[in-house]
Parts: sequence; C-alpha cells; structure tokens
Amino acid sequence: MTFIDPQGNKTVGAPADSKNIPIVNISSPIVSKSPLIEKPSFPINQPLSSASLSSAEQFRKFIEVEVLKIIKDLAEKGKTPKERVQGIAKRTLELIKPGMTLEELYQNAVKLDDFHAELAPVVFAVMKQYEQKYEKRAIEQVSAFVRSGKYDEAQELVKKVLEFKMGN
Amino acid sequence: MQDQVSPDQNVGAGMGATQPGQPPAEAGSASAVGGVLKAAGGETLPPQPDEKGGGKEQPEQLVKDVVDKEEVPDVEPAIEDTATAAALLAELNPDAARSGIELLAKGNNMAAALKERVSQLKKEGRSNPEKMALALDLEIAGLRWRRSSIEDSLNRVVQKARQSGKIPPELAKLKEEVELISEEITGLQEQRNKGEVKLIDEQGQEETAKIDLSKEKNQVRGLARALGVKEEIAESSPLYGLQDLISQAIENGQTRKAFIENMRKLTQTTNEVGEIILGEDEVQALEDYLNKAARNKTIEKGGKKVIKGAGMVGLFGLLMAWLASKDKQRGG
Repeated sequence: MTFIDPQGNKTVGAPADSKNIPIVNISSPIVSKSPLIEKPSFPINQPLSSASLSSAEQFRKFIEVEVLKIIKDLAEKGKTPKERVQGIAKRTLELIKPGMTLEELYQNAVKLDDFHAELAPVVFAVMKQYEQKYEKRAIEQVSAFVRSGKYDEAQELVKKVLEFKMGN
Repeated sequence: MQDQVSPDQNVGAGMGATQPGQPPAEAGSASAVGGVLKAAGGETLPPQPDEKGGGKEQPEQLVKDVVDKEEVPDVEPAIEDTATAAALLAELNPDAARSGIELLAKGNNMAAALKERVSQLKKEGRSNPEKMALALDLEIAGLRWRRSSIEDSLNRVVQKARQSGKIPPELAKLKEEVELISEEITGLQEQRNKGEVKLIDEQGQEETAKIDLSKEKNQVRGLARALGVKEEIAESSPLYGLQDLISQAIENGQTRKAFIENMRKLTQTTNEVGEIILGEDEVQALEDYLNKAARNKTIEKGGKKVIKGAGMVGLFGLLMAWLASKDKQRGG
C-alpha cells in the first residue's frame, strides 16, 4: 500500500500516525470515470488553503500556483534535472487546461503525480479538498436517507464514496 | 547586464550590442560576432591586449575557462531563476501561474512559449487583419528577442575568448541558430509586407491566406515605446528592450518608478482600435512583482544581484496580461 502524508510524501506501508493523518490510498490505479467525479452533487466553492475556488477557473489557477511552488522548490534545491522540471511543467499543461470544468480538473489533477511523484502534494491537496467536501455532504445525505428509510440509496452513496477513495 | 546604469542608458544594455544604450546588431547580426566566430571550430585567434592591463590570471587558465564547456553561457536563464521569479509573480497574480509554467515547459525559451498564442491569433486573424498583424508582429518580436539573447551570450564569450585566443566549438551552433532565426524573421517580415500569410489548416496542410495588413500598426513595437523603450531598440528588438527595461526596473528604484508610471498610463490609454492597453489589476500585480523581485535580490560574490530570470518572467507576464486585456475587452 502506498500512502500520501500531509506533506505530500509517498510512503509504502502503514503511515506513522494513522490516527491523526488523513490517509489517501494511492496505490490503486486512477479510476478516470468515477461516478463521484462525473456527477458531483454539490458546488465546490469553498476556500481551499488561501485560494478561493469560486469557479473552475479559480480552481485551475490554484492548481497551477501549487505546481509552480513545487517546481520552484525543486529547482532551487538543484537536485532535479532541467529536463525533469520541463517534463513536470509540460505534463501540467497537458492535464490542466483553461476551460475545463471542475469535474475535468479533479479528474485530471489526480493524475498529475502518475509520472512525477514530486507533484504528490498537489494531488493530496486536491483530493483532500474533494474528500472533505464530498464526505461532509455524503454523511449528511446518508443520514437523511437512513432517517427517511431509503436504505438502498444510503448504501449506494456509501458505495460511491468508497469506490472513489479506493480508486484514487 | 550592467550593474549600475542610469535609466537613460538602460534599454540597450546587454542587447547583443556590447555597450549600454547601443542598439543590437541588425538582421543576421553576424556583424556582431561573425568575424570572431569564423574561428568557432576552435581556430586560434590573435590574442588581444588585456584592456585592464596586468591581468593576474595565467593564460593557460583563461584558455581552460573559455574552452571548458561550462563556460559556454546558457542563452536562457537558469531554470531555478525562472522558477523562482515565476512563483513570485504567480503568488501575486494567480493568472500568471500558467504563463510561468509555459515558460518552464519550453525550457525558458520565451519565443517558443509565445508560439501557442501566435497560432491562436493567426487562427482568429483569418478574417481580422488586426489580429493577424498582431500575430505576425508578436512572432517576429519573439524571434528577435531570441536572437538578441543568443547574441548577448555570444558577445560575452567572444570578448572573453579574445583574451585567450580560443573559442569553444559549441559556439558555432549558436551562430547557426542566429542565422536560422534571421532567415525565419525575413520570411515572416515578407509575409507581413505582402499580406500573404502562411497558415497550417486543420489537416496540417500549408495554405496561404491573403489579407491586407498594410494599414495595421505594429502593436508590439507600440507597447515597447509606450513603456519607455528607446525608439531604435523598439524598432529592432522590442521585447529584448522591454526585458532589459524590466530587469533594470527591478535593479534600480528610479527606473522602476518610471516604468510603473508608464504602465499606469496605459491603463488609461486606448490604442488605435479603442482598447485600453493594460488592465489595472494586471498592472498592480506587475508593480507588486517588480517591488518584490527587487527585494529578492540574491547575494552573489559580496554584491547584490537581481534574480536573473526576473526580467524575462516579468516580460512574459506583461505580454500575457496585455493579450488577456485585449481578449477581455473583446469579450474573449
């Protein structure tokens, strides 16, 4: 099992403090057609870190700024070859494009670290945002379904959350 | 780049020309370096007298320094410099993050990074002479910028090589690139003058679009002039002139003040098609960037030195803001 810690480092095996650290299993292949990503049931428009994500464009810019920060750190440390830095930049431009919807951005953002593990912190931030937003809503929705006796719907929603988490 | 240059001298410094304020060598620019580069295959040049007199370095060491591959200067700023400057600009203006990533993806080659915008403008320009002219002028200006950057590097090495009598063979490649760029510029200039623009259609086939561009002004040159680049430099290499001016604005408080004032004027000025030239938000972000970059000078060899890529990143950010401002006003 591979995990991402809050600093975005990928580690194999159980994280040191799994009680306090939000853990994302990233060892499974990316499921690009996750039903959760295809049809989010809520607008994602709350602040993420200091950036305001009131629209897809703002979310795109947030991702780009985060990528740039990582490239800066890598370049300043001087251990990453120029070609790799170039590759990270190219891959980002391929995956994250102006005009994409929030769904497309989420879908592609989680692929950023497929070939460049250095971008794991960006993926972590994106997924954390998605998890926080979706899980909160999902819990509310599941509770509502259970209260109104809609157990099948509740079960379906829980299944979707788990599918997304396992898939990413 | 000069360490201490008065605002009046600034724009020409380092532009392929060897003296501040001088325009860069013109088309082909072989004049600037060609004579010396005849020996680029490694021939020996007659040593020139040491202008400073009594140089303490041993000749063998000088030869080693020049011939050593690492002494061949990079045309582009180091990747860390560009990344630092781009992150700085993006922090102040998230809109600029993408342009920073684009520069890095193209290995800091701004001319290459501009290509995408140029292609888009050409597509839109099929039925819009103003956009087509802008596309060609931007493309030509990008290539001239690239040529000036290479010439600048060549001149530095040539000066050093004169002392030692040896030129690294790698410089021949740079000379070749200068020649290729010059040919490309000539071709594009012809297209601009004749109004016969070569385009690539959806199927990847080349086609020629006939469009009258004779009445269209060179907006890139106009921008450079409006921001304080000297006429002759705005004419020969407007983007290199702008980059140099931005670099000087970061280094020198007075130049910065003048440059910012010029930018501010452009938020109130319309061009020939009635567009405000620069948006206020973008100008504010660029102003903050210049001020912040000025405080981020790195300490090198006991003296302060501005982040090397800051001028180029500032210029690319300015160009993108300029184009975005146009798009916004056209509802793009």
